[in-house]
Amino acid sequence: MKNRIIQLAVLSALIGSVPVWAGQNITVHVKGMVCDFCARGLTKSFNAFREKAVLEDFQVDLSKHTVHLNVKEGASLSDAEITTVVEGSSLAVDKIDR
Amino acid sequence: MLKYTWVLAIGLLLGMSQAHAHPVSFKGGWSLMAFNQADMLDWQWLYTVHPKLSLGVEFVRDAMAPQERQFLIPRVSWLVHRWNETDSQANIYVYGGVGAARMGDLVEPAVEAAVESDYETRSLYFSGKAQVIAARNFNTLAMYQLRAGFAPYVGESNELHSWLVAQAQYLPFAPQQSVRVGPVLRMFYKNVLWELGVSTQGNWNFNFMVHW
Repeated sequence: MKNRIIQLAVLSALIGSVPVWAGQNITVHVKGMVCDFCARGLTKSFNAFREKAVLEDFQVDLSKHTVHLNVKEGASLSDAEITTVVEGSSLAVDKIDR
Repeated sequence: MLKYTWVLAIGLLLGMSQAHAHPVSFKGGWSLMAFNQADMLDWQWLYTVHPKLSLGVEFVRDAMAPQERQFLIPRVSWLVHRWNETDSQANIYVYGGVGAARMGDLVEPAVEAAVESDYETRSLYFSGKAQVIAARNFNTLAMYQLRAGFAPYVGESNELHSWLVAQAQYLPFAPQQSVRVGPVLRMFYKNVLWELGVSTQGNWNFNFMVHW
């Protein structure tokens, strides 16, 4: 039993030390995004980030007024870049959750 | 009555109507907008150079008067202010330009000025617009419009969005039917928006808009 506990502890430590390779998820809370037509600018700009291999994927959620960004492994997207995209559509960033 | 039913039926088949005829879209965005009535059309091709500014050209055909008039006006549109809230958005725009007016063989400079405002949530929509185009030897072309609409259901991203809108227009220089009131069915899907309406006086209107 004692050996089993030690084995589990070692296994847990190993798992815990494995780097997380999955891309980072970011949730952007957007003010003023009340319709799909208003969100077209965001869609176009975030599509450009996907084509540049910065984003794996993204989803616009109108009911929650959010945009979910899945950043590609090894890539990064700063708050300033996200804010530039949102303000380029004349919308406003409420907050960014990482 | 039968023809109105027919027009509305086509609207339903097409899907439904629009709401957001914003003259400034998003930075780097193109907009093609066409507002059509039997005796008047207004086509606009705009490019948003800044989140608050678009440049473009507008063509207006006025067939209300006995002799048809046409206007071609390079135009600047300015988003004066936008109120962005979590559940709503409100805007004030002004736009205008200097171009040319044509009536028969007569061609002369024309000036346009307009102000537009709207408030919208995901299920309610209100807007107002005042637009004037003047040329020295022509009667001034003016249009005032009020709209109120609601969405019978709230659509998500990449779904078909539908709105039912009540519209009132006042065209002071129209020799007939200077006041036009009626329903408009507005629909949009992704970046394409279209509207189909008919007034109680029998005037139809079909509007189309695409952003890219």
